[in-house]
Amino acid sequence: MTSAPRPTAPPARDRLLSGDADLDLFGDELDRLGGILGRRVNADRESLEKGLAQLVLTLVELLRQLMERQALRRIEGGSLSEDEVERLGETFMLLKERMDELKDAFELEDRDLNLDLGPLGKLL
Amino acid sequence: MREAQRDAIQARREAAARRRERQRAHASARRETAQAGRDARVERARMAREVSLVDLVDRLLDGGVVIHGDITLAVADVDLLYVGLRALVSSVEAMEREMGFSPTARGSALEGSPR
Amino acid sequence: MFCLYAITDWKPRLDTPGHGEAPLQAIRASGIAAVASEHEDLSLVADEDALWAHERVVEALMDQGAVLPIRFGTLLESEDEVRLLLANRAAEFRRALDRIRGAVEVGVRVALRGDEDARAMPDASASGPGTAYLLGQLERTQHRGSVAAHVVDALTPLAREHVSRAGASTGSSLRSAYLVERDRLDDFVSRASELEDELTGVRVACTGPWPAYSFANAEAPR
Repeated sequence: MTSAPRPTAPPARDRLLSGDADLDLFGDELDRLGGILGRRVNADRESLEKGLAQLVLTLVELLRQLMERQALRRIEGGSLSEDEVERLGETFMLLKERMDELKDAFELEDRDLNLDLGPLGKLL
Repeated sequence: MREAQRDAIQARREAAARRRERQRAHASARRETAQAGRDARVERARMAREVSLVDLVDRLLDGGVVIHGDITLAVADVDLLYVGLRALVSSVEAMEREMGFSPTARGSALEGSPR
Repeated sequence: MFCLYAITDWKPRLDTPGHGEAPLQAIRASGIAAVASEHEDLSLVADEDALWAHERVVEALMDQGAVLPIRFGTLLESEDEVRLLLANRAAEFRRALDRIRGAVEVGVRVALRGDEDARAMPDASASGPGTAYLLGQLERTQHRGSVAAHVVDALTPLAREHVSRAGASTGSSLRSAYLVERDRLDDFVSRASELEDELTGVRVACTGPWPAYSFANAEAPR
């Protein structure tokens, strides 16, 4: 009720109130920080190709996730036959594995596909 | 025919598992080098600052009152294509929420006819 | 040009410096004040130092009273433009200030341990690997949903409002923001810590107290 003044000022750049700042759990986001904080877009050709691959694969991954979510809704709703579930599942698995191969080929990690658009926020 | 497909799936799955194992090994090696010779307390403090920074960035760049003045941010050399993608994702998320499809919605069973 | 930091409906003490050590001023219209710094020319890079400089200003105001934080890097050409903004949106700003008065924002992160691999492996089920995969994904999604519900049930009684942060719908972590009364902050953080013991394989971290970035807009944020 009373607005007591804060006894001590918090350390300059630490806002963790509770919990472990476990890099295992938050590692992906921290890796992406380098992207937001003043990275300059590198316009040489190799980067452009990699950038294009990144964009395309992100789109594919986005669509894959959307479709997978749709399929899960329909399984929950009971509107798919066993055979349809099996075929859809195999398709999603194959698609996922193909994505892994493509990421390997372009040396992209999962975190590269979760594009950070700066002020526009994460894509996936 | 199905047999061969299943073998292929299995082989791919094993390759993916090996890949994940490699990534895990890299991550753990990174942590070990970071922590070797460092006070655990110092490391925790550093991680606390990093997590704080992520939350700060998220809030300052994606939160707060929006005023349509000039936003001069050096990161704003972003393709219009990306702007379009973001709008697409937002509208899909909004649609999913509206239809009760949000993954974090409680009791996620569909209502009404699924088709 | 003017760089804007925050909105208040009271007269603030302005002893923190803004970007480039520029002094702060309060530009007023219709009973609302915009806290700003004036610059000849300002090109802001969103780096760590600049972000914290902005935050330092807003938090210094937060200590004095209700403040609406403005998005980083907002620039207006002239004082007239600022006054016009305030006049046009005074009612909206007043409502937003009432909404957040006396409260702070807490960021809550919930991370689910990656049991991804265990779930992705098919059991020897008669149906086949595709079905096992999808059922595994379904189980993961439902688990995420039930964890999220448990967290919300535990924490909403201790907060005025909450929203989930954008981009939270995939991946193995849930991020949300809660608007918490200043004098309930400790209770809230304690309750959040307890969740780690209540839920298996779940880690919870809180950050804050932040100015109400996620609750500053008139409409419910994303």
